[in-house]
Amino acid sequence: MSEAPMEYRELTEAEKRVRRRRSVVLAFVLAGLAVMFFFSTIVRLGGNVGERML
Amino acid sequence: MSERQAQSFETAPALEAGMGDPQDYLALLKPRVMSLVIFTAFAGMIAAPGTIHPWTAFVALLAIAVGAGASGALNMWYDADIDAVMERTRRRPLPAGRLLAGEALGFGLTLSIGSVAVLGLLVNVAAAAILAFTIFFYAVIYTMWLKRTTAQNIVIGGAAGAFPPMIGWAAVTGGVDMGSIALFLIIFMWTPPHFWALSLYRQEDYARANIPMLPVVAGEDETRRQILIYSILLMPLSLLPAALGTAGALYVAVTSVLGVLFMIGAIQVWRVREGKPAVTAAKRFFGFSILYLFLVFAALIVERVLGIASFGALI
Repeated sequence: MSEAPMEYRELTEAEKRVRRRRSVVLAFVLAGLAVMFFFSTIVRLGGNVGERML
Repeated sequence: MSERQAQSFETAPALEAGMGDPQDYLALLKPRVMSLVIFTAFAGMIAAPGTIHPWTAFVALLAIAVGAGASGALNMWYDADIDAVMERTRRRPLPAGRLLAGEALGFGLTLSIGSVAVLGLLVNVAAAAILAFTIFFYAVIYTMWLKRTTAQNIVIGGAAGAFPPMIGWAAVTGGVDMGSIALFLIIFMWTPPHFWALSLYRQEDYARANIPMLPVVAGEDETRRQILIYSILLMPLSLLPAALGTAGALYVAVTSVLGVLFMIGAIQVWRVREGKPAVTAAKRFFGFSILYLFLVFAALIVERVLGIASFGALI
């Protein structure tokens, strides 16, 4: 069974601007998540790192 | 997808996937509702006995806010058909054709899973479980079931909006107790008069969308009577945190004054039934009800911040 080929079109300038805005927001969200997990790990570890069994 | 949903999408402007602006995605989260959720969750957190690291508290509030926003996105996905015919909601991203239904659904589900996972992994399981239940309750029990089938939709569905202080409380204590149930009950009892006041002057919208809001199915007089009954029930409940030792004298003073003003508003809505003055009374009461809830929870926060001692538990 063959599928119809997908048609592509050039995005308009406005659509490109919106896509760029989405990409920037996503980048900030991902960076924010990385920071959040990093600091949460530090907070949860607390002083326990110094007391761990070696 | 319902027949009505399909019809509304036919009337929306044609669009392609992946064209939504970040602003549209933000609108799916219902930012104004989100701000009240953050505030009441913060109040629950600060009123709870025990301590929480400030960073963990921040993460918990963020997860609660995103979870609430996610349930808003799921609500907008499912309700796109009725949003399209209601004046108040027809400019939302889906009925306006700025986003596809699938995009809103995917966004809502991703944020739901993400917010519950973050709360469970970085804060505690109890808070995450209540958040998951809140999202399920709002999206499935309220939006998909109650909203279109019963005039008691916002009475039962109001529970979804009442959970955030309980989640904030659980983030600190790791559980549920009478103190957090008291905060839940305040919002639960506040929701019906708040929404019925809105529905009094928006009932044509609800009737057009075929939503069985109380004024549409039982009439305005019955709605005014119910607003009064729930307002009377709210008064003693609002003092429950003081009786349980969660709140103190400042809270009692503020809540008592606000309670009297709330009752005056409810009586005005009940008495003034004709023409423009009736609409004005309902609009004023709706506006004041938001201020009421904000100030009641603000009193709780201020007391804790100032370190004012409570009476101690009376019951």
